[in-house]
Amino acid sequence: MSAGADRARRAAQDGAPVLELSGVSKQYRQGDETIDALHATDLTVRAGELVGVLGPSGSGKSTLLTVMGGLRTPSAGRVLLAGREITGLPEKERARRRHREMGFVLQDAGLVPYLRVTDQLALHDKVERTAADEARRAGLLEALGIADHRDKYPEELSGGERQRVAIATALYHDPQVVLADEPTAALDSGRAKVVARLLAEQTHERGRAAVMVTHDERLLPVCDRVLRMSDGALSPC
Amino acid sequence: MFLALREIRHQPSKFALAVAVVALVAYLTFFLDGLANGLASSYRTGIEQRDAAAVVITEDSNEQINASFLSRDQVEAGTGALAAQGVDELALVAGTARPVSGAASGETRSDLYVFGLDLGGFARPQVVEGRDVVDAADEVVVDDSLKRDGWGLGTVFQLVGSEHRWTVVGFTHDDTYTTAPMVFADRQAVLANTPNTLVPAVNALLVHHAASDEQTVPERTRQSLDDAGLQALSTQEFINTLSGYSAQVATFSLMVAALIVIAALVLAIFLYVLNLQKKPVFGIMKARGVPTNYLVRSGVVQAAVLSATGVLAGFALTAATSLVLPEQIPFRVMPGQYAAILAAFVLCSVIGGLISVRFVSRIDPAEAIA
Repeated sequence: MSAGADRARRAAQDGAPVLELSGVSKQYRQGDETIDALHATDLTVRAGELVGVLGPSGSGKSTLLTVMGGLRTPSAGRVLLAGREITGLPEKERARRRHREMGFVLQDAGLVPYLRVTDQLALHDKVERTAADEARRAGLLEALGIADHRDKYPEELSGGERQRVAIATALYHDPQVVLADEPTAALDSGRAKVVARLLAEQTHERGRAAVMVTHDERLLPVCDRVLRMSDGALSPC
Repeated sequence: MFLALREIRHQPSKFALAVAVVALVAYLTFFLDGLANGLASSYRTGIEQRDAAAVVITEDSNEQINASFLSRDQVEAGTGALAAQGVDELALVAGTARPVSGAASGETRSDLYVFGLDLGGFARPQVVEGRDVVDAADEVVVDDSLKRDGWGLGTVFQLVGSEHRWTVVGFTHDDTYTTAPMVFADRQAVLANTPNTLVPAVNALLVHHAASDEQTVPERTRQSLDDAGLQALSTQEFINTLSGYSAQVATFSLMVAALIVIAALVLAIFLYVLNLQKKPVFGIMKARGVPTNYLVRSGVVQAAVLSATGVLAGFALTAATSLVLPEQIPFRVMPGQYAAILAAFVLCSVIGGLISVRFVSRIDPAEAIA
């Protein structure tokens, strides 16, 4: 299938469920105690939708993100990505699906310190042994306003620029879903809003699904839907 | 490849440090190996250049040529039994020479070995300067390392314990026996002028051709030699009997091996510490779905690149040193051994790099988020 046909197929799926959680819960054992980090949760994220998850630290939103991202296996329930279950897969398999179908924007950007901006994106092609898509790379860097920084190392960029690079990296391989973990934690409010708006724009334009976990209420206006996390329970807000 | 090289490019000075350590240890290893080979070959070359497949000595000698004295009957029995393979009699005299004419005359003494041979036979010396012996009674050709003692063509010398005057008419190259220079003379002349402290005798028989690829001396001949109280050693076996040779080769080999292991350990520890520092980055990449084996492969490639670069730098240093080394120090580069050392270095460091496999695979990608 050509890349163009693939994109056309995905565009036709606009509004289709991309990430589905049904009855997902997570308990940790700590000595004799069992901690309910995440109560049974149902959630559907659709293509072209940016969902914000708001909650204070320790509310279980990181647990939610790790379970959604296939980084941790839930104690009960199922997680489906693009209609296919990821719960119960071995880590090797989950890693492959994360790499191909998900994009991550982590706290402090989560960039590799010894890769220049273009190489941050190229890493995906190197791992997958695919040819680099120069036009797509240039287009992304342009759209995110960091085309001038393509040959810089993360340490040479400002916090906001780093997060833009992280968004470009997360979107480069055209994933089904982008998961963002406190993407603006290190930024002042002005820059935080710009970064969040860029994430929203890219999600909408490209018809991708996104989940942004944050404790920053000021970012909520850019989200299509906001959920509140409190003591391991997710509720509409 | 990608991550490994990009990381080196990002912080070249940090990795240069690791390369420098490997380069210095490799330098030490190559240098020691060159010296060991130089020393070992100064024991050997004089024997190796005699074009002999085997050396026959008496059974009573306990495999020491200095204690091997063949009787007339033994010489006849041996040469008879070995006639088909080609044979020459060797009279070996360990002596101290005192030049009596020329620039070297005076107090200088030189320790050397006189090989009394058939100068027209298969074991004859190859003259590289001057000429072959014509007057068998008085003329000799000698190894050119004696030039360092001031010897030249026309030098006349006596052996301590003998009044006979020998004249140097030619030089050979790389003819040393147990590190001392060799002097080639006609066997009859040596037997007639053996220093009075020694017994004039044939000490060994040199056997020209091996009987076959498997056997230097066939079983039947071995039996006849045994009946005559003689034993045949292949040239390599004979070299191993030279006093100190095997012990010295073993010692140097052990030192070289130890250096390789030490260098590999140093590199492995360095890479391990480096990997410890990179734990958060590994976590991020694993969270993004970069497979563990990709990260491990990068680590191994990095170890191989660093050690290979270091070893090649060490080799360059060794080559440069060998150019300025004084002639008295025997130094010999054996390309095969150097290639083996290079391979051993790279292999050991790759194994060291693999130590971090466990470390990388244990990193929980969820920690990058939690």
